[in-house]
Amino acid sequence: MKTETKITLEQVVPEINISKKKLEKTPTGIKGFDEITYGGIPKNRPTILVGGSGTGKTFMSMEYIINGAMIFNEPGLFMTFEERIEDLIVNALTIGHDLEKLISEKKIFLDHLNINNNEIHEVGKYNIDGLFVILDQAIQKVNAKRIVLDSFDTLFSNFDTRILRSEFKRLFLWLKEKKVTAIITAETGDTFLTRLGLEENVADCVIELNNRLNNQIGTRRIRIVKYRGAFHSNNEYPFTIDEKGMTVFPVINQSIDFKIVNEKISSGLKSLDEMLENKGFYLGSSILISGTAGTGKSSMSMIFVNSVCKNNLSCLFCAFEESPNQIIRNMELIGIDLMPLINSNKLKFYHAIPTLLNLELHFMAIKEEIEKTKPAIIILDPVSNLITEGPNSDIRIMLTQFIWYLKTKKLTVMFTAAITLNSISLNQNDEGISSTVDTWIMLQDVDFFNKRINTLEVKKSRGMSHSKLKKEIKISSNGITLLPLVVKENGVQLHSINISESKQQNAYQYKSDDLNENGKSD
Amino acid sequence: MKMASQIKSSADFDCKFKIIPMKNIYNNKKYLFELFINKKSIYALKSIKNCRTIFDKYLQNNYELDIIDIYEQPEKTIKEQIIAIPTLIKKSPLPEVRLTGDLSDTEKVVYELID
Repeated sequence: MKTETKITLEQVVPEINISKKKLEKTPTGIKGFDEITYGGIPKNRPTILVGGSGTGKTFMSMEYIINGAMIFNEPGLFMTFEERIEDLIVNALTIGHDLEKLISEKKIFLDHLNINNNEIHEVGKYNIDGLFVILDQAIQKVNAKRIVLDSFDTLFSNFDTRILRSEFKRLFLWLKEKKVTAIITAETGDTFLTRLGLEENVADCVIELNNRLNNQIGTRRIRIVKYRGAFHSNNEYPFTIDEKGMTVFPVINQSIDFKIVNEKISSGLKSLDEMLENKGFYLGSSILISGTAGTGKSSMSMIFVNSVCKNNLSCLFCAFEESPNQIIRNMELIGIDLMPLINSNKLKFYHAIPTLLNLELHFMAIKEEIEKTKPAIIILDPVSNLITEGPNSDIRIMLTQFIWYLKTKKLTVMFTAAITLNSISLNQNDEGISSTVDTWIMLQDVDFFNKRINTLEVKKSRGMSHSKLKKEIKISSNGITLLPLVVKENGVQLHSINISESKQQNAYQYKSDDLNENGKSD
Repeated sequence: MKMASQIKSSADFDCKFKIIPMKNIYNNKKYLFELFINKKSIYALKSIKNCRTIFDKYLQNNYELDIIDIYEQPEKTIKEQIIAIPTLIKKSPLPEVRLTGDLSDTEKVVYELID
């Protein structure tokens, strides 16, 4: 037998139209969610949405109904057992949707079933045919294709679970027969996934929402627990709820084989370009500038910005440490005037206090800014300030995904971070961040007698033969200059410019610049 | 201490309630019941039978039973928001009481509705 050895991209990442043949899906219209489910929730089947209180179950299901009515032209029924209809209308208005209008247009039907459980006493066996009658009437009112039942726990909180088990099955079968795509919300239970502990057995699709608190910052997450008959991502994805609705982050891009640009862009420093094959960075790559405090990370990035803007490309500078005005003042000291760039709209600032929002929201806001201004270059200064925002593994995943997003957009991104060799040995995650980038420039300070010297080296640069030399970096009112370091036989690094000093000490020797350039020398 | 001496006799506080059956309070009022069923369901006949037996025994002719099929009268089902069937509602006298099930638990039915 002939064995198939070649694995195509389609096999690894299933396209939507492949799974469409197997199982029809109903798109929810929720940003990012349809991507992680490869098309939405199973059509004409019930889906269970489970989560603790305040995780966004009602919000998500409401958006599903609204999107159905507004985008996909599918009328929806929202049956609530908890909130009053007036409250739901007010809540929807806060995200900019006029439910009353949709109701009058017969696109949405809201129904509130008031379950006063105290009045119900069980006297023998029963079934839930009454619910079918109520649902059936409500479905007919708008000819609903989408249904939300919010929430199951309220509906059946006082009922006997033994009887309910078979009744749940009947309800699910009934919903399937009615050819409606239903979302049923349920509370998270202690021992089972849902509190009643039985719905997940009969459901075709189970989605879990949670809201975890880490270092005082809560993050909402979504996970597809189960999806019969279809591929789905197993990961937990962060999502946000804001005035624009629900957004699952990050949006997965189906295509890995995005186009690669071979063009290069100058770093703004001639001497640094020389270390990078005389040209600079690749367009659309990611660049990390790491180093300890005061080694000139921000200045390096600003010089890059300055040169980029002068080449008629626009730039987005995301400052998490300094305010724009402070940056402008500081850059004047090294001879860069940012005001003309700002006035000509080439340079835009995004600045926020890192602790103000959680990481996803920061990236969301930056993404929005990118969509709006469409810059060519993005600077994140510094990305290590965001690390305080969550457990380090989180930011690594987030950063990787963010870089992927930027790469598919063909954007060049430059991060600055307080990562040094010492910090890597202390914190493994630092290395993780540096491994996700294409070009890594490391700044370090070296003690030399009673003087501190800042050095620059290109740690890595994918796709080019970069210089392995360490250079001295000097920041003055004329900008940044790179100077070669001289190495003596015993390995002591020397401050090259202070020849007089070294001559005085008469212990070091000076070699010409040319010899050390590009690692060509001995 | 004075207080303590006053309460020494427990008989002073021994209130004896006279238990009056509920049906005596509502003696002259007619009982109104609504029973929501699905005729096709196995519980339908059972619940009607149970109803009749209990009411005939305890209320004699002093009651009215309205049997409603949920599929024939969906408006009423929606209005009363009946989820589970059979459901028996005591409409009058107030307070309204709802019993869910085939009414096979006679003791509970009598306790909740009549006595």
